[in-house]
Amino acid sequence: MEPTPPHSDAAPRKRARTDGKRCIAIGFEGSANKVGVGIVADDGTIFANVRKTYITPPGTGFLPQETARHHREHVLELAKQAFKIAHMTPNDIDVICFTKGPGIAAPLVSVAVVVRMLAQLWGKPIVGVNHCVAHIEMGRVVTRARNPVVLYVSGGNTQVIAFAQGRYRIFGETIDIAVGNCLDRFARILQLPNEPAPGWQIEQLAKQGKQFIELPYVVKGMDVSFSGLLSNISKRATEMLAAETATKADLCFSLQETVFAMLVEVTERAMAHCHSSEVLIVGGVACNERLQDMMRAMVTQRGGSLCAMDERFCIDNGAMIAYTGLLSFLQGQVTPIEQTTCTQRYRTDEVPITWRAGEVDEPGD
Amino acid sequence: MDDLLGMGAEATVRKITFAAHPAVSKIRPVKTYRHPVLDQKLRSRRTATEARCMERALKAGVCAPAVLRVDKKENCEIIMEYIAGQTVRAFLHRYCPLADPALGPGPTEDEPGDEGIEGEQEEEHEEEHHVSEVQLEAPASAAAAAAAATATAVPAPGAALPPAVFLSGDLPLKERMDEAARKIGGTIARLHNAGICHGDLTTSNMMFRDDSADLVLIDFGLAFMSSSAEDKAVDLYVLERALLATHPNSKALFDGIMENYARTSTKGEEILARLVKVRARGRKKSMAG
Ligand SMILES: Nc1ncnc2c1ncn2[C@@H]1O[C@H](COP(=O)(O)OP(=O)(O)O)[C@@H](O)[C@H]1O
Ligand SMILES: Nc1ncnc2c1ncn2[C@@H]1O[C@H](COP(=O)(O)OP(=O)(O)O)[C@@H](O)[C@H]1O
Ligand SMILES: [Mg+2]
Ligand SMILES: [Mg+2]
Repeated sequence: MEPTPPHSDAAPRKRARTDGKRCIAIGFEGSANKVGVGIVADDGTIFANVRKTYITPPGTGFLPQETARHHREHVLELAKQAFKIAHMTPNDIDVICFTKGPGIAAPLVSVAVVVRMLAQLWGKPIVGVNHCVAHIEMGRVVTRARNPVVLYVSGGNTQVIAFAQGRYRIFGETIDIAVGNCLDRFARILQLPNEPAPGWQIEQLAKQGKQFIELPYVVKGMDVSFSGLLSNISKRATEMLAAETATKADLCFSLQETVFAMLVEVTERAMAHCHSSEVLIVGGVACNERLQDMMRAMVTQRGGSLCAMDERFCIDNGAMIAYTGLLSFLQGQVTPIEQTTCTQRYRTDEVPITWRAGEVDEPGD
Repeated sequence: MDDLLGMGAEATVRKITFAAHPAVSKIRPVKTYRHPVLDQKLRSRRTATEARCMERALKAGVCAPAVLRVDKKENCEIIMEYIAGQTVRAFLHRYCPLADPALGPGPTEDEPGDEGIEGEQEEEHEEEHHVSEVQLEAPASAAAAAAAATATAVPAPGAALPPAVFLSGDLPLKERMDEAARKIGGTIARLHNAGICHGDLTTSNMMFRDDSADLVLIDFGLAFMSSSAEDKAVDLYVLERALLATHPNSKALFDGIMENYARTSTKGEEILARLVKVRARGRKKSMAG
């Protein structure tokens, strides 16, 4: 997200439309098994947000090349659909945004290629966006959260984040696999369907769980670890199901109770550490109502508030990319075409949050 | 609630009077958000762990509050020695400049807006608190008291600056940070040498004593015994990330801490090599959104 080269001497010039209209962005997301297109305005109005998910049979995960093919097949149709829903044409668009990373290379690139082509076809500038930052900004605009501690929980990431000195700083994260990945892999072991999401299937089963089975609980400072827990429960699941000492529901229930308790605990640690009273949960796992209830109970006990996230914007989507790209576009940032590459590794704290640059941190202790 | 010392993450920490001395009561209250079985297990396990590891640390010559009384069951409460001092976090907030010293000269140490910190801390020391001691068990065991005495007597190795100069004197930034790095790195190494991993090394869980400027480790709730290089490397990794996230310009300080750690650690080379691997693992997993 480099500034426009022609004005390399000074700070990038801020943009605003001279005709008094709102700035409009279209965003393309395809970092994992979902491909989405969204159209938004700078005040957060969402005109369209359409998505397709690549679903594989129960017991299997998605592979990069097949996922990329899925995205290539659907992305243009989704874009057409988005324009139709928004009652707009490419002429109404000021900027095209895409997910630069992090994510899986093949699907990321499959969408970036289309974005480059469309930008040249329509003669519009491009902005590359960090997927994690997009989850956060979408959460902030939808919930009106001011300066929350953010729990970012998805298939590929588990991070506890707070804004400090111009960046989203990662206070805690998983030291091995992501919580969504842990849920997905366990769903596969139980041969649960992947539709609409493996984590959703676990959530439904967990509601019938009666027995709490103790599992490894690993919190290190503000970091968490799930891999030991996953191998423990995977091994015991087979035995317990065979011996009928536990049901699938009991296992899902115990898994959720344990991993969510860990997540809520590290979020609480970050709140205490950052002297914050607001919490925002984003990413696909944020859809989980048990996690939301637990988080709400913790935050209420501390006298704070949980910013309730709208389920439609938790799962990867195009609108969050469009909105976040627009925030940096309004700061004068565009991505020159030769820099519209993708990067599998792109940490949340690498991105200067230029649109919040004026905010002063709250002092510590 | 003026006796509340910190809005901790999992505990309520209060300054009390115990056997006529200022002390700290740390209670782990019930967390209604989690399953009651899990809640009870975590609270009592951590209370027991914290007390045990604090005592072990003291024996190993690492400064930690002396344990005065433990209730692992009902209340999940520890009563411990009160440390008159400041957290390393407050210290860094006051002295660590906005620019990384590694990247060239930063602004002066007198950052505006930090004046409030000192004032707030001072008030705490003056409070008088009367807590009913009827239900409390026998006070400080001789062993704990002896340990407390040892704790204050153990000099920080390599400490060169008089405490008052280090804590509040007129001192070039680099010297102050070098000394802080010496204290922090040396202390963690001695803890690890004794086979103890702290589990929650953040700047809120370390204090500088007002009188001796000794570094005191607190909050051992996630501590555990281990001799593995991996566990110790993860301990350092947690510190690194907490430090850099809380004090974004403290890279040079962390490097200094590691240098001193390596000097005092009995397996420094192996553990630091392991830290590189733990870090790489961290970077690898930022592959998917
Ligand atoms: N109701 C739910 N409960 C728990 N997990 C869920 C739920 N709905 C979706 N998920 C999980 O969210 C993850 C996907 O998150 P998302 O942010 O969309 O994607 P990614 O990490 O792939 O970018 C998957 O692991 C999925 O199982
Ligand atoms: N023995 C002590 N003496 C003085 N202050 C203390 C002591 N123990 C804790 N504190 C203060 O209380 C805060 C919270 O205590 P801590 O044990 O870290 O609880 P938590 O586990 O909830 O983080 C600390 O950051 C420190 O400022
Ligand atoms: Mg603490
Ligand atoms: Mg995501």
